[in-house]
Amino acid sequence: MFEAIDIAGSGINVDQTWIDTIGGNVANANDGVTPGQPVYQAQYVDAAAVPEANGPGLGVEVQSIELGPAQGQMDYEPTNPKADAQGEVAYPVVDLAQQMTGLIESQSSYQANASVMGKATSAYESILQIKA
Amino acid sequence: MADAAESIGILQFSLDSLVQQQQAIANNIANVNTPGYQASQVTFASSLEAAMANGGTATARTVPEGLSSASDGNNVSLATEMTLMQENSLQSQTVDNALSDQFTVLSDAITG
Repeated sequence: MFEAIDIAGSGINVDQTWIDTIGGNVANANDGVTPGQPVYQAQYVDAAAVPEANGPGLGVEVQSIELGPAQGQMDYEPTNPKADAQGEVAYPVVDLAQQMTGLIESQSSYQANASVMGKATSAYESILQIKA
Repeated sequence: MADAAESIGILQFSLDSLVQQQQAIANNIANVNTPGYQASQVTFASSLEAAMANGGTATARTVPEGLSSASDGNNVSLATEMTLMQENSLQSQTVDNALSDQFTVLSDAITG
């Protein structure tokens, strides 16, 4: 019962996870380290639909969080205290434009799911009002 | 002219179908960004019409929406789904009111 509310909730959960990963990726985009040290790996949400045997489906779920490249990208910054003997600093691979696009997509989707939850709640309430 | 029990049966089928339809729409919206997801819809109106005209049982069926897909294989149109959600919501309210009316008629007949 009340599947539509659960489904909208599953969408909001995935969107929230997506927004969280974007927040982490953008916040850590400039975390330069000495090459050889572990560099921040961007996080990407892998989501998939939840199938239902005899019905339209039961929403969406996070399958895994995929990570960006571990080696990072090298920048020549000899004056940076983190630079190695070759004057290079390792930065995380984060595409800011891609992250911002994802942020807008996840926000729209979050709003749409929240709207579905409101509509579904009204519909169920209306059904509960049926009386003689 | 359908009697009260028949009307209630038709309205109940409609409401069940509308709830299923609402679930399909919610599922499409939840998967608006899921790569490879194909939107589905629940159809029942034509089946109900045929059953009312010719007798027989109406069924609600889940079928693919069949719109063209974007490059990630997803074919959900958020605008379409939000419109369908609004329609579904108003249709449900109409059926809810009609059911209440039918029950009121029955109740009046019983109590006199």
